[in-house]
Amino acid sequence: MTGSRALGTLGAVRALRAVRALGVLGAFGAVRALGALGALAALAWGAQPVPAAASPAPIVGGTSHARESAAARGGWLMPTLGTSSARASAAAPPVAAAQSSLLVVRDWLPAGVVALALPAPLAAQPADEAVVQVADLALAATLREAAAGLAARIDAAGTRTGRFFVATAAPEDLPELYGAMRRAAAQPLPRRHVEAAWARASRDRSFRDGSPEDRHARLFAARLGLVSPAEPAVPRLAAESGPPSAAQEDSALAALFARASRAPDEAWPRRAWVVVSDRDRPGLPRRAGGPAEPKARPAPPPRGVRDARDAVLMAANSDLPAEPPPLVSVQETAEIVTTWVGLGYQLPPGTTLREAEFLRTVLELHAERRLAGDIYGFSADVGPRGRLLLQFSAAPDTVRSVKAGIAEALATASAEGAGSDLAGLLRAARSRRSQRLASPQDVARTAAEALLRGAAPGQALAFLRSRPVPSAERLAAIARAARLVVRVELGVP
Amino acid sequence: MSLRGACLAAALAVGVAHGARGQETGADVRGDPLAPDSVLAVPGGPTLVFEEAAGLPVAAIRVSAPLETGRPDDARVLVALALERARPLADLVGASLWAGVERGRMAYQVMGDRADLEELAWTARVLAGRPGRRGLRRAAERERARADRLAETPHGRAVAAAEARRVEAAGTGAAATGGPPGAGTVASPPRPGDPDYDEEAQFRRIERLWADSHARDRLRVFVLGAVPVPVALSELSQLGAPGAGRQQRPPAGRSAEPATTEPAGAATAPASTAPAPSMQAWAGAHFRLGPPDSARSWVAREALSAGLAELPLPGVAVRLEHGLGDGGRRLAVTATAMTQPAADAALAEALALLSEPELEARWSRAAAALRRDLLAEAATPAGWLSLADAGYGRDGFLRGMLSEIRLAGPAALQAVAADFESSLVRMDGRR
Repeated sequence: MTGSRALGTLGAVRALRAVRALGVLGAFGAVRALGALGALAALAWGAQPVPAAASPAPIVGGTSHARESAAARGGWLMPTLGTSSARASAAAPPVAAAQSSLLVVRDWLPAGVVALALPAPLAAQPADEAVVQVADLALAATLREAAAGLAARIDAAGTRTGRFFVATAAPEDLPELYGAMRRAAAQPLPRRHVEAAWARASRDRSFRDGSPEDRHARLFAARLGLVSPAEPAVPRLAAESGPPSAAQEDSALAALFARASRAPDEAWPRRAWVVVSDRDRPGLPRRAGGPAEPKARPAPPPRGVRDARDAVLMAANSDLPAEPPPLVSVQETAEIVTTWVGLGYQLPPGTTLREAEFLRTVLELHAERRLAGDIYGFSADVGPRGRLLLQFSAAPDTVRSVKAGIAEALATASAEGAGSDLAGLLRAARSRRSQRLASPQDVARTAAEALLRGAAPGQALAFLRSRPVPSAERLAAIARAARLVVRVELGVP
Repeated sequence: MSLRGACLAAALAVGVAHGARGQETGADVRGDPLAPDSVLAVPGGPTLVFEEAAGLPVAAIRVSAPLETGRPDDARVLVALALERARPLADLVGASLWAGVERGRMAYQVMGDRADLEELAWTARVLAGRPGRRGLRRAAERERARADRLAETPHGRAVAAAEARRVEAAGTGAAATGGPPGAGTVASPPRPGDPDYDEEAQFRRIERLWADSHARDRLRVFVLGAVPVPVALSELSQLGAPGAGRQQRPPAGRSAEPATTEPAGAATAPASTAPAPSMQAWAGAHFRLGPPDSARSWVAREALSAGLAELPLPGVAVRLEHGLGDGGRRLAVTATAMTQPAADAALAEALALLSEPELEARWSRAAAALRRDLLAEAATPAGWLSLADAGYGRDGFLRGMLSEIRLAGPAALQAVAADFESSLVRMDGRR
């Protein structure tokens, strides 16, 4: 922007705001005319909106070429399985502090957000999974109670990467809300909330048991190594009508209660706090790039529970096979109306999260446009360990053509150059990504998810703000290199 | 003429009303998330409401037109046709589309990446543009299917009854069918599948509805995002139908807004001529809780909803319906049970929740829940556009609403209870 255009912009904005201020004096007609002149002047200067604050340069650790390329592309390296030489260049990602805090400042903010993100439990035993489920319900209730006086709405949701507790409130209430939530997360969860959560989890489990979607999701996640293949049993209380007495609890149940009641800060040392505010406010996290918060006291995760980020780092650092693992293909017969399919693709080493997300969105758009009539419940996700996960259901007689359609989608994404559909899809994918970052709740969740994946706060911020679309050439190369490593089908063979 | 020249010319013709509504109402707009940055009234053109929303990665546009004299079912078909026309354009740039009839207005929204502003504006112009015949039959059939679905459930019949009352109040049903206005029940024009359905006649009705409601100077256009004003002016000041809607008010006898006073009638109205559900008994009522989009009516609705959730009514399904097709004025409660006495008793219990003591018991909890939900909704672009349209003309809408909610006292409770009792219409669900 030239200097005069910038001045024009500032002139326009100041004129508009001055007119509003003048308007308070009550001279409405005159103000209206002045406003017209102010706007007119701004228009004549070719006014442009005040640009948003420049995005900070991505903070990327290491000096390898791959890492610099990743930084240039506005992302950080997503650690994946791969060849040893590739692993050498795509060295371990920068490790964020055990606890990350990030302040995202947005000028336009009718309501602000405080989000607490805890990592998704990975490959837990069924009992461990039940503990997490109950603890999450209890934590949501505890946070709601802590924020009761602040007109804050708290929503809880989870992905394959993390569990997110997102509070929305007026921007001026954010410091108090942040303080209240942090204090609540530092304490053991109140017994009454754990008991209520236990009862609710038992009801939910009996309601959901046997749903084909749930069964398939569990099978798929088990083959991906994310959960135990066995159903999580939520032990029933001896008397569901009321809180259990000590006599009614057996020792195992008492132990599970004790684990579910642990303070989240203690139970989940790797966690992320994200605040989306309209400006710096005392009491909120400092902006990314400032002095790091002291590391949280290292504490082991709950017994039997590792978090998804552990696995990401493990995949990058441990001695994994040089090539993607062989295809794991499972077909389970079930007398259900539609067939459920899950496909897991291993992305090549060096793929950044942004690139993976664009590829996911391109596949999503392709499926919506070409397969809409044949496919139900389609979802695409970038899972832990650098895998692109697709899940859908289709009528048994169309499953084969839908799978061919998915392969065609990957082929479309693989074919850059003149006449390819990829360029058009990338433009639409950019729009969809922007829409996914349109609300402060989405911003907080996305940033928190990035932190849980191992990004440093500055990287998470750069990821949020990066605008350029990955090049079609680069994306096509990633699509060509993606390998199907897990396929799980449930339904009529 | 260059773009800058065109913008200059346009600006000369534009009245700029920054904060104007604040001065008109005396409200303090500072800090109100829903008070827009600027409001421009283009002579002979739409009212353009801008919210700069710097830093937002998306741009979003909402166009809304008043539904004053047309039939809600025709309005829904008009909106469906617009969506069908605009979908391919939106798909090109991955924009999301929404359109519907809410709070007495036909509204269209398009949202996409801020770099695609030209395409988004083009899509908005297509959405608000003249309807074509393409897709009419399909849209009309979907509308008929919707009406048939509504007739199968008590709450659906409450929706249909509220729409019929609105059509009756506006006199448009009679105009459409040739029947006398105010006749108590309004015959619907033939629909697809009826022997005398006339697609051409429906298309003419929809065209008339569009020409009247989408006249440029009756449209409100909300622009959210880092959109330069000159660009928005050049892209969006020419949408809708040419004409002088402001000068051509609805004919005498038809109110410009949906009637605030109800048509005179008995306090018990026949539910409708549609077949009643045969397996179960039901009872229902519809009523007002105050002016639409007022703090007290919203809190009262929230309190009623919370109270219904707490009612121990085994074997009875009680449902609250709001957003009826009457401009958002009325709510309906229906109770469905195996026997008529059970349904009647459940309805009586539900309506008792609107007595002053019951309202008072739940007021502060409902107010807190409403404050939370309003703030969360305003934080999203789509929610902001919808709330800004709902609060248009009342600067300080959200802050005002939030403080009004906090401060609402016994007077508000009395007013709600009085509005409820004076507007109550029972629906007879007897088999």
